[in-house]
Amino acid sequence: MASAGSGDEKAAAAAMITLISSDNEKFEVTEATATLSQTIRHMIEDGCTDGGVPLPNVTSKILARVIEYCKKHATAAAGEEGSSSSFSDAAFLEVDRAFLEELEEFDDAFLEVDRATLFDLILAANYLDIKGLLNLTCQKVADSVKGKTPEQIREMYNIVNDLTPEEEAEIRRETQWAFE
Amino acid sequence: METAEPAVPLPTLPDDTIAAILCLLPAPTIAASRCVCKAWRALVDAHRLLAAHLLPRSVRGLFINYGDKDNEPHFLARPTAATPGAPRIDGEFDYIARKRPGNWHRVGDHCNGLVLYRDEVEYGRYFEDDEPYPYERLHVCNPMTRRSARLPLLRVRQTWRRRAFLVFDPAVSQHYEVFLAPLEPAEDTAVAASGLPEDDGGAWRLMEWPPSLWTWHVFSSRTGCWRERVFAREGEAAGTFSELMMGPLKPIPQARWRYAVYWRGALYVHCRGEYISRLSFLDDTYRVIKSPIDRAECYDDVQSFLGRSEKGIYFAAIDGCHLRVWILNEGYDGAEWIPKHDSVVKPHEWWKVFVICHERHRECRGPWILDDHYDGNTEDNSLLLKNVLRYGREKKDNTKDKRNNHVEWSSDDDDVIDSVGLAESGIEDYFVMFGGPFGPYQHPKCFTFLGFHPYKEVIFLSTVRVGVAYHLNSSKVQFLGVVSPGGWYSDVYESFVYTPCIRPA
Repeated sequence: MASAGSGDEKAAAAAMITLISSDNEKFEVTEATATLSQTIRHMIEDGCTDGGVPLPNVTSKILARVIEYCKKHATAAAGEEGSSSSFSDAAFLEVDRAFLEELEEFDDAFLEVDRATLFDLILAANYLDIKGLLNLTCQKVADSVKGKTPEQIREMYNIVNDLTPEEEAEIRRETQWAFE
Repeated sequence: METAEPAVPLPTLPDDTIAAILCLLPAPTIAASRCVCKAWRALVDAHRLLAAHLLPRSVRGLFINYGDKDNEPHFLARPTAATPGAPRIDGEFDYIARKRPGNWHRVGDHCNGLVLYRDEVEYGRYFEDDEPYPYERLHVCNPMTRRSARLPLLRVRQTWRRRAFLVFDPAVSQHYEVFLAPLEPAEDTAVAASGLPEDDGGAWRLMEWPPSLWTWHVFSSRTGCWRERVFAREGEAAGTFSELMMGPLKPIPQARWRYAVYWRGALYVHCRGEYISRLSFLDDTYRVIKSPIDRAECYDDVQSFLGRSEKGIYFAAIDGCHLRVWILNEGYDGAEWIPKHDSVVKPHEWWKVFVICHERHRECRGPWILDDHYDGNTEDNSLLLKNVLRYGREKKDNTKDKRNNHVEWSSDDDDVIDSVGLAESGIEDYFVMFGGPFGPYQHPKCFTFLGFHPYKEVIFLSTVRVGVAYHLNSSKVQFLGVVSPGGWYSDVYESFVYTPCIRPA
């Protein structure tokens, strides 16, 4: 057991990936953390991660947040796997629930950011293809829009109304059913 | 708190991402975001974000027209009684304001929840020198909202002989269009269709069909009037007049022109099985797509039908008991038909369900019934049907309850026709000895088409009186119900699969 464990550790230590942000900051992450991104997973599979992975679309500020998210979720995934063998079912379920609650709290706290950061996170999640993070951030934006009027949406997101009053009246008439 | 935050332009996100976000919203907010700006309106429409809210992906039932002329259409569906508040849908269309009871009403087409209703009102002349023709009114209605609109009368010859198609995509616009097809070359209409003078020495026989510029009449609910719309042909014509009329078609009890499909900005029109016309609304062009069956088959009584199902445009050909189905695959270099299904089916097995009920003096009711009631109004020569109506239905209560909980057609819990069970019932011997209750000639050896399920690879078929759902992938057959309301010879003429739309027309 011990020798196998240390072997794994060695493999894990060897499988560190360096991510390079657009402003040239370097981040060392484990392969388990990095492969939450499908984009990076494909790069690892293709063997083109030597010398670091440049991410010209992601700033260090955002990349730090993304890595924070991935670390947490990668640990959660690993924790679930590890616990299943060493706990009885009831204990496992208990641990599982605790994990999920903790993860949920983490996600809520993680989303406490300003809108600009949120959009940068969406762009990064989209570019890095991290499904969980993309769903989480998109849902946050959707929640902020839900139930708003067109005027409120425009104001929130600084959108210029390029519809003529006639066009807008026509569109409203077309979708009148949705408001009934 | 939120308003204190500086506005950050959302449009910096890629379109797909904005669409993914809007997709998470309820219908009213999607509708509101459609009013925000031009880009968002285009985005909502291009991704069809409102479609899921407007068009529940369910089949509610079938509108069926019958061969006998004095019949009105009927609606075959699950009873609505178990779902309070659900609008009752039937073939009466009593919410349509009709001038006076005509002698021929029929459903002309269906598209995404709207129904085109054709109403022959009286005989009249469009022009002074005309023979009197049946005078037809077109109505467009939404059976869910029970609203209808009467289209203005179009003064062109022989409206009643022309095919009319409805085009409606509620996810894009509340407006609909009705396309009235030009007359097709048939023996007595060829000269009129060619537009050449009659005494031209038969020059029309060499003309191409459809013409390089094909003029249709189109009604738009946006403008409220009819206009001519010209479609320019791309590629080859289907043939010359004389080729297309090579042998007059035999009279058959079903419709000769079997359906059109509106799919992704184009209308696909079945033309006698010989070819399909694809009218593109983006650039007002059309293209002739060769049929998967050859012309000889068309003239040899092979019935063919066009429809929409899970993967797009489907084509079915029925020759006796032989069923073949293809899927249209459209690439940049043309269209081809991919074979999907090829089998010999057993319509007499389906019919036995009906006969067994008769033998046991039980009501033959499937999960689907006609017009939400069955009053047994039959002037009819069918003792069978009377017996069928008189007796209660024996069904396990639990299956019945399970069924009544939802009115749409669902795939797996309906009756499956089980030929092993039929064999054990002893009814097989009865068939062998007597050939069925009406002698050997009544034994159905053929079947016809009711429609494609728009979202599943299932085809609705019928044989004498019995409607079934046939699974193209497993060949499983499910009993739907009795399709014919009238006498023995009252048979299905054409039918339309109805999918409801909650948006008012």
